[in-house]
Amino acid sequence: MDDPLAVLRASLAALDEETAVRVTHELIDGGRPPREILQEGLAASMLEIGRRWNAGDMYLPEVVAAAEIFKRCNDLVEPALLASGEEILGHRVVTATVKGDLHDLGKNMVGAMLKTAGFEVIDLGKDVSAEAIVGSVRDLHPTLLGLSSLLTTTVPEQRAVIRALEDAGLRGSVRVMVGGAPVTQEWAEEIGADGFAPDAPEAVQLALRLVGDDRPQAAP
Amino acid sequence: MSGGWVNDLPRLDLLDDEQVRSIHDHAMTLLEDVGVRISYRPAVEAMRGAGLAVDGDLVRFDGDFVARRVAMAPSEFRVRGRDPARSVTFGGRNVLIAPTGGAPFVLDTGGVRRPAMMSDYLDFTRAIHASTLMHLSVSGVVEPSDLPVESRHLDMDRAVIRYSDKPYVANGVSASTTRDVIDLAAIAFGGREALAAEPAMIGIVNPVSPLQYDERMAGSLFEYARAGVPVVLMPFVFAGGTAPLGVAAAAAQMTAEVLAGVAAIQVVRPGSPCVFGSSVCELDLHGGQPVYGTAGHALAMLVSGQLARHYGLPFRGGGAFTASRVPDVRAMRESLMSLWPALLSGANFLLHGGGWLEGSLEASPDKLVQDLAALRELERILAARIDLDEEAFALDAFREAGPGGTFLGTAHTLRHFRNVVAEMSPGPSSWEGLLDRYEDPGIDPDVEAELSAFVDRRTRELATSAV
Repeated sequence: MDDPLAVLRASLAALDEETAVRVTHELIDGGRPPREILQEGLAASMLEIGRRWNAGDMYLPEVVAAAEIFKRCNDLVEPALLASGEEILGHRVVTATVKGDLHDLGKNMVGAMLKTAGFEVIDLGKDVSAEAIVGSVRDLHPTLLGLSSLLTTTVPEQRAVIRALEDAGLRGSVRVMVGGAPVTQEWAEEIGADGFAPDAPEAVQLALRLVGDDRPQAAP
Repeated sequence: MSGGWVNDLPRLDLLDDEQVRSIHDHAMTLLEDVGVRISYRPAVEAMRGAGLAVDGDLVRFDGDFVARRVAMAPSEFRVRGRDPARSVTFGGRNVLIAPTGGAPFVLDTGGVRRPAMMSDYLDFTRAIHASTLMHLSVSGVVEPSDLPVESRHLDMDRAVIRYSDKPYVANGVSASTTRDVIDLAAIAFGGREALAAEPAMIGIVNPVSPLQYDERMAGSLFEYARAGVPVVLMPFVFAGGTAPLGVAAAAAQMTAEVLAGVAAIQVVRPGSPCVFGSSVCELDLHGGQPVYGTAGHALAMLVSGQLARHYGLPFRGGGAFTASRVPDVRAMRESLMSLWPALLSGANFLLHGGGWLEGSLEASPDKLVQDLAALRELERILAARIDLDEEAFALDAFREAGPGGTFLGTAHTLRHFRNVVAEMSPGPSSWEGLLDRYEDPGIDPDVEAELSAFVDRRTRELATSAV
């Protein structure tokens, strides 16, 4: 396995953070185009991890760990990518657990799974205010926004975020996905969200539909 | 008089003293080194005032402090019903059962999953009151989606006071909602002082694992403690998700979370009753969904019960848990695999003892009926005293039937079968049958008017502030 991109892909799939980070450094220092590192190395490996998850060969803890390593490597590639002036073609998703809610397990699962489908995921964390979410949509121009809440008392905050996006004139710029245990399709429709998914795998399918990518996924 | 069951089964202690000490020591390490985030300023200031190290909202509890405070909480306490005959005692060998709580959806008797409504809430409240197997009512048995979220705690607590005279689980989920539900109870039970002297309800406080009490829950804890209302400290951890994998780490984490809450309550009001709660369930590590009724779930419950006894606190464990979305074979397997370990763990309080589906997202009338049937058999097992007198050995029946004979028509069978039939009476076999048994306990009209006036005033205030 001499191709460093193949080594990068394999190390990510093997959850070998040390090698993945070292090879990413070497590729950047060696002048490999950053877009190539990202798309043919990191993103390709995440897609393969997604395929293996679908086939039942990989488990959620591995997907989440891979997503963490992906983020570390991506953080290294990003400055080089910006300096090169190259465009990333993938879709960007911003995710957040809404204000007043500290439950982020489900949102983190969705974020990891989205990365396996080639999405760029920017996670704002938990207990995130509507203002902060609107600011991120304004600054980061995501294609998709994922809002999570676990508590019946915080679910109304999803509506508040959508209203804040409308007030800021940004609602048309982003597709909004909502999720969390008490959330339903009816609620999503009532608050004017673009979609609801009951779990992480469904969230990936929804995200692909919302960005118009209907490529068939292996059946879970 | 416990008001519930008495569980004289042997406790299944899986750990020796040294192992219990090891879990305790690791829990103390978590409390001292990692600390607990408490996002409610008055609670944090109370902890600082008690001498704990506070950094922002991170509170570090030292082991001696925790031990001294936990020792202040009673090992048994009473919660009275509006009908004093329905009063219950938490702790000792007593087992008290309450139904599911917090479900945003109902799987109705037609098999349709839909958002829960206030009409569902009232039906469940009546059904729970009608069942002799449910010792407490639950405000919030389902979440009525047709009522405004900012004021529905008022409607729910008022209804549970009005339509049942059992002790109940109150629905305070933040400082202000908890003040409201205590004020409501004070109207029905002779004022806040009388309520503190003899509580009529119990509160549930869930840390947000790992090692956090968010603003709502810490606020609720603080207000319940100030009023002397008993509190179940109730971590809900998913091994591999909100706790590390394995019983040891989950037990140490859960112990740290519970004892932090108990210690905090004792700072606010020494001697205030607390219940050691536990729910450690496993995650399906492929899809990420919680699973119930597994060996890991049972082992964690047994260990938790032993820990609660170690600390001299009443223990909340078990429940008719399942991840199934319908009351099917799987639902009952998982539920029984949760109820049995609960009894063997010495659990004093079985919250979610009936009607639970889909990991608490759904409440189901049909599941409640099935759970009650299972609970009835468990009740018979706990109540059984095996007779060993000569009549019980039925030698006359053997002589009468002889080898190869039948016992259906023997004199012994005829002497005893009516008692057996009565004991095996299955109870209501349908939701309608259960609701038919409901008898309105009534309420003093002046109290009812005062409750309604309070609910109306607070609902208006909350609607205004929510705009």
